[in-house]
This record gives sequence, C-alpha cells and structure tokens, in this order.
Amino acid sequence: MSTEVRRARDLTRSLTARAARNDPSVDDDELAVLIACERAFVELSRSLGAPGFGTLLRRAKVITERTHPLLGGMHLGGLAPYLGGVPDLVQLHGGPAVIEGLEAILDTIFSMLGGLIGIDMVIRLVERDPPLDSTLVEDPK
Amino acid sequence: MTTRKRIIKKRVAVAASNLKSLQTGVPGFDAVLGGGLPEFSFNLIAGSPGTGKTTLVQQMVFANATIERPALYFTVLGEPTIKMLRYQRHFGFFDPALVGGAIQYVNLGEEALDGDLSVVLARIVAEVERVKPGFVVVDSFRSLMAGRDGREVEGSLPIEHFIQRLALHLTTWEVTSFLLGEYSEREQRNPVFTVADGVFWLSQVTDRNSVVRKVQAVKIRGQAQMPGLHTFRITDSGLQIFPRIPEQQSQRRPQTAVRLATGVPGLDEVMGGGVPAGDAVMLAGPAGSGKTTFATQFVAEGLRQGEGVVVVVFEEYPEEYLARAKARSHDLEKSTEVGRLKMLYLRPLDLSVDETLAEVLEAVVEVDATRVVIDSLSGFEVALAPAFRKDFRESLYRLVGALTATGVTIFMTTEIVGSYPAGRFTTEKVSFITDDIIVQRFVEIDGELRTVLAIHKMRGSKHSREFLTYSITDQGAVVGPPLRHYKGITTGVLELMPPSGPPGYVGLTDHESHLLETLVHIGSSSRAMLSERAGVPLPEAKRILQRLELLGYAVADPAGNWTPLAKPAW
Repeated sequence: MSTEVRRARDLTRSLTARAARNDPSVDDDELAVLIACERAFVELSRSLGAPGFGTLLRRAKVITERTHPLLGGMHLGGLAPYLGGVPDLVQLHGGPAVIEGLEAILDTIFSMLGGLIGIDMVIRLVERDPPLDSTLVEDPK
Repeated sequence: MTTRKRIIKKRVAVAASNLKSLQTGVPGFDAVLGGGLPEFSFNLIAGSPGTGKTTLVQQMVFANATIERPALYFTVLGEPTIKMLRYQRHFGFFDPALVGGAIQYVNLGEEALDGDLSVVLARIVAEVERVKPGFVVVDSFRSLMAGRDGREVEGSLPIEHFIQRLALHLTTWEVTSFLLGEYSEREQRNPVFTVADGVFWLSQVTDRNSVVRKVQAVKIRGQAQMPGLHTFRITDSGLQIFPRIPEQQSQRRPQTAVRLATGVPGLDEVMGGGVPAGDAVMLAGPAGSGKTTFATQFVAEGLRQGEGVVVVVFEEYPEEYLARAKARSHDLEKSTEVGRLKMLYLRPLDLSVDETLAEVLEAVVEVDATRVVIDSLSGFEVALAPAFRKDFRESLYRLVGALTATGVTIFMTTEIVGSYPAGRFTTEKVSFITDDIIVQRFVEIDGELRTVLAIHKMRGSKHSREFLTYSITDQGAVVGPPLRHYKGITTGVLELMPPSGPPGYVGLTDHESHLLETLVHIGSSSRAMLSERAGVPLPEAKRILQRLELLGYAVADPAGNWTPLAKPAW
C-alpha cells in the first residue's frame, strides 16, 4: 500500500472516529461513517464547488463499485452531492458491508484528489480547522 | 517653506498615518505601489489570460494571511480550485500548511451559474461574516459577469449595484480585497474600474521568440505609485517585479579627486593617474583587440586593492571567464569564494534593462562593490528582449545613471565594427553616456599587425592625446610608448614620416629611440620590464641599453633599474 493510499485511509478513519466521538447520539457505526461522509462532502463542495465535487464523487463511486458491488444500489444526489439509499442497503447487505463500502468510497475520493493536489492538501481542505489529529498532516517522509 | 505648504505637508502626514500599507511579499511590487498596498483597499487585477494574475494574488495572500487574519479565496468558473491548487503549489511561496486554515478556498461556481448576482453577493457576505477574513479574492470576477455583456439578468441585482455593495461590504469588514479579471484596455469604463481603489494591469508581449511581461499600477487611491510599465518575470519562486528606474532618481554623486588604478601597466599614466572614481569608462575596440583582457586587469586590480567587484558577462560563462583570468595569473575564483567578487551571467535573450539593473544593484550591495565591469555592451544588447533593443540607448542611459548614482565606477567594453575612423561602436551612439572613452584599433606597421589605443575622452580630466602602442603579453595588457614618426594612423596603414628638422635623439637608430622613449615614458624600469613594454626582445634590449648608457641617454642603478637621462619629446 502506498503512503498516499495509507494517508487517505487514515483520514477516513479519523473522520469516522471524530464523528462518533463528538456526537454522543451516534451509537452505531453506520451513522458515524455517514456523518464522516457528510462532513467531507460539505467541506469539499465548499472549496471545490458542488459541480466539481459531484464529478469527483461519481467517478469514485464507479471505481469503488468494482470491489464493492453493493454500492451499485446507492444513488447520488443531483446538484448537491449526497449518498442516497443507504438504509435500504443496510437492510439488504447488513451494516458492516455497507460501512466498508462507504469507507472505501471516502478512501477513493481522498486518494484521487490526493493524486491531483497532494494528500496533505486534501487533509487540510477536509479538516479546514486545525486538525484534531495533527499527525495526519505530517508527511511521514 | 510657506505656511500654506507647511499646512498641506502636515495634512498629508496625518492622512498617511491613517492609511497603513501592507507589504505584498512580491519582490519589487511594493516599490511600484509607492510603499505597499493600502490596507482595506478594493483592488482589481486585470489582464489577458496567462499574464500571471492568479500567481500575483496568491503570492500576496500567502505572504499575508494568518489564522488570525485569514484569507477567503473565492474561485469561480474559470479557475477551478483543484486545477489552481495543483499548479500553484509548485511555487516556492505556496505553503500547504496555510491551506484550509489561514487560506480558505470557496467555490462560487454554482452561484455564478445561477446568474443572479444577489445570490452571489449573499454567499460572499455569508462567508465573510462567518470567517471574518483579512483578505478576500474573487478569481475570476470577470467570469461572474460572463455572458452578460453589460446586460441585466431579469430579477438580478444590477452589476453597478452589485459592485458597489460588494466594495462597501468588504471595506466595512476591514478586508483587503482583490478581484481578478480578463479585461481589455478598452473596457476601462466598466464600473469596477471606477469603484476600485487600486487597478493593476498585467500584460505580456511576444516578439519573435521572447516574451516580456509587464505590470502597471494604473490607479492607487491615497498614495503615489511609480508610473509607467514595469517588467516582471515568473520563476519557481513566483513573481519578481523590476521597477522601472526613472531618470530623475539617478542623481550622480559629486566627482572626487580619487583615482582608481586600472591594473594595466602604462595606462594610468596616460589617463592622468587612473580612472576617476565614480566614472563610467567605455573601452571600444574591434574583435580580438584585448578588451576583455583590459577589463580583467581592472577587476584584478580592484580586488588587489581590497575593493568589492561585480562582473557582468554575456558572451561567456563565468567559469570560462575565471579560467581565462587564471591563465593570466589572476586567480579571481578565490575572491568569488570569499564574497568580494560577484560574477553575473545574463544571457536569457529576453532580459529587460530594469531586470539587469536589479540584479547588478543587488550584487553591488552583496559584495559592497566599488567597481562594476560590463563585458560587453554588445553582448548585453543581444541578451535583451527584441522589444527592448529598440530603446537600448535610452535604457543604457538609465542603467548607467542608476549605477553611477551608487558611486561605483563602471568599466564597459564594446565592439567596434567597420573601418576606422568611420567604424562605429556596435551599440551606436552610446558614447554620450560615458565619462571616459578609450578606443583600441589594429594598425599595420611594416607588414606587421600592431595594436594601438587612444584616450578619446576624459570628462574634466587631462589625458594623453597620442596613439599609444600596447601589447597583450602572457601577463596581460601593457601600454607602451606613443606611436610617433608615423602618419596615416587613423587609416590603419601607417607610413614612416620623413625626418623633419634635427632628430630627437642624436646618434640613435629608430629602434634605439623607441626603447629610450619607452624608458622615458615609464620613468624607471628593470631591463626585463622595459623589454616587455617596448616589445623588444630581451637580448636586443640589453644591447640597446648598453649603447644608451654609453651615449649618456640612460643610467642603471646598482639594483639593475634603468633611468632615462633624456626628456620626453612629448
């Protein structure tokens, strides 16, 4: 696994963990990962623009579907990027499989964007405020 | 000073104290702006695509934004954030650590597509109120107006109102703002030009294979900017602007009695004791006449005296120049290592004079130089972008003016093409910018090619008016005695003049007279040095000196130094 991919994955984990930590009402993992997705989508839509981020999300979904076919049952929003149909997927495939799929989409988005502008910049755009986990933005090299 | 003038001066001082300036972080730009960018000003950066608008504003933002005073960077349709970050991060000023916190990127693409300017304004206002930035950029502002061509979109805020409200809002929130746009010069009646406190115009001109970029501070409210077009270059570090030095700023220092030794044996004597400090000297000669050798000796002599020296070369690499100097026993490399000599190699073929000047002035400060050598003006002219060659004379005038204003002595070489005396300096008609002119040339004597020089001009100083022989030896250039008894020197083909009246030195042949004249010219010399200066082989010099002693024309002291007993004929 390349350093970039590993750092993209770390960012996903960090966002999910923060969602669970910051909101006591989040008592299941599906909700935590959905909140993480929402946060990432909002921040990236703000800086990249909704149409720009929407394009990125669509490509990420197509790529991730190759390893997580269940994501084919998920639909994306029109102008404002969002993931639809998650509850139905949980019912069909079970929570852990959907969580894995959602995390994989986030990983793909961060990796793709990292390839274009650098993963350090992606972390800063998503975290925006001083990141909670400062080790994320430090280049291990 | 009259009372009225005093009052005005006081008012200006009070007003200036209320108007703080921000340092832009762009080298040279603060000088163009008249000291920096007024804080909380509403600025327009205009220019055609690819002129460097985004890079200029990014450089300013990265130099100024902090977590306490963040920057909000609004991207619109023409400048997607991903593309901008991808390319801008390669510049040296781009600090990724500032992204997301001190510099926040917000895309207005959706609002812009909507076409309603009130929606755009509402989004900008909401973000400003939320982030409370010190700086706001809209890139590109023009694309917000795309497709309107001054027409109003039904139900939308009129353009004039939008600009007025945006400016008012940003100034009220104490924001320094930049709108970027691809405007043409005929669009200056656009309302944004009226509302803006500062308007900066970026342009680029392509001439043959060179590209010259220029910036103009068209308007700045509340402070006097530097007028005119200023060239700039975009490098890995970002923009560097080279402010155009106006002629009136180049006040010369008063001339002193100090003379600088040239390091060329025999030259100082005929120049009245050396080059007056602070002068601009031009050495002109045909190819192969030894111009660079003279210049190198001027450099070496300066270093020997403990002075700082800057050498600007165009026609050869500094390594080659240093190697050539070393071959003549001038080890200049050591001086570059200890910071007393700065070699500048300028050969990009798209230089501007102001860029050259900026580099030379920086080097002068760096080594605390008293001597600057430009070798050669002909190479300099070729290194300039074609657009600047047309104004070479005027540009050189400003360059020399600005350099002499610092007190340095300039030694320039230039090539002469064509036959003498009709031959011209390749940089035609540049002689007026110099204080002193030395002209070299080849002459034919008895079927042999010899070199002579003449001091054509020394402003405010006595000098020899004779044609002086000189030779290039293993140790460098050596100026010999004047070339007498010949006519036709200016034609290049000399004829020995028939003797008129009694001979100068009774009983001496021409050869013997020549050696004696050289000795008279030098004053006192060893046999070896005299042989070299006169261009007479050592055994022949030894024979002639014995004869001169015998005839009472010269005498040797116990140390072997010869002194003439005859007065010079000139």
